[in-house]
Amino acid sequence: MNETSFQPESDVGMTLSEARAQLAKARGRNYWRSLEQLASRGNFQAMLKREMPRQATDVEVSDWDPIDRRDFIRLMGASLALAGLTACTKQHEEKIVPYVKAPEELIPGRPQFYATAFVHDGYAQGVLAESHMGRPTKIEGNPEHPRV
Amino acid sequence: MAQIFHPTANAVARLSIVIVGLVVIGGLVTLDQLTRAPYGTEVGVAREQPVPFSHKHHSNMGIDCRYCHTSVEDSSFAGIPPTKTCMNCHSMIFADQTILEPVRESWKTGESLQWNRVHDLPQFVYFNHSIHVAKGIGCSTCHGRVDEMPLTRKENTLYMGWCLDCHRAPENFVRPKDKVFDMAWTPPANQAEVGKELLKEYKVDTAHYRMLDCYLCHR
Repeated sequence: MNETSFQPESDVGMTLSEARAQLAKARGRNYWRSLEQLASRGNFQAMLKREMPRQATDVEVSDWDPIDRRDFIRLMGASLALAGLTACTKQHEEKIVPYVKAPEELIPGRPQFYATAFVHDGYAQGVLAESHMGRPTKIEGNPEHPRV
Repeated sequence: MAQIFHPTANAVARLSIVIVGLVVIGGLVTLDQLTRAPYGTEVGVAREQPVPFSHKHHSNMGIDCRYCHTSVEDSSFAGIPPTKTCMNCHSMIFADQTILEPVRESWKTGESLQWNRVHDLPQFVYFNHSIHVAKGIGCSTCHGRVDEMPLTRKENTLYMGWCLDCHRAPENFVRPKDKVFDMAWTPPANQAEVGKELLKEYKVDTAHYRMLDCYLCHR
């Protein structure tokens, strides 16, 4: 591996665009194999830390530095308040796609049950299959099948 | 608490605290009104459809609701007719109208028509057409005079508060079973008494723990 090609230009770490520029220069075997490998190079880790919010690094287990109660409540309060914002949206438009030719005896919205069978140890096992508009959703034993 | 304004602050500065409060309240009121206006509820807003289908035109010819909405008495879903139902008549009537081209296209290719849903309940609400029809709630109670709508639109918000208006006092809305599909039905003067009689006849348990049970719709 050619480690030198990933050295940052300054001590304060790379920006994301710098990281991209470094990667663009890399040719052939100099490519990184995993994100972990890339992250461990140069000051990339430092850059990542700077990219992420301060609060996110506070909960890191490695350097245990518990957030004080006020910070915690502040964070949770903000999260709750922002969670409410997600409700401020209009219902998206829904399509109704009817049949071209409806199958006989099908009532839309209600399941259909078919008495059918599968082969087990060379014998037919009677089963009831529940179907919603052609999609089977449940298969259970048929108590009225002669083999039972 | 530290004082908010310096002793030299003038009236405009002092007034600003009131103005900020009013702006916040005004914003909230605007949001609330927007959700209750057609912008939010889409009441009276006709959605664009692949074919500008007119319920008015079709029902005025005497076609029953159930000719197309076949499963309204049997299922939660009233049913949207297959292309076949349209072609029953339109293979003969208006068979060369350009406006019906999507219908003929669907019939030829076997590709379904894609309608835009007008009455769209949220996914967390269970609603069943058949039980309402079976207990004497007419089409027009919720859908309005669909037989007078050239383009289909919502007549009511379908908000939870609107549902509860009836679930709290169904006697104001229940009608004789033979009038369920009568779009022109209006409640008689003595609806409160007639309604109570009908509820008894239909064996509707109007106890609040049943009619207002959360699990009735949020199941």
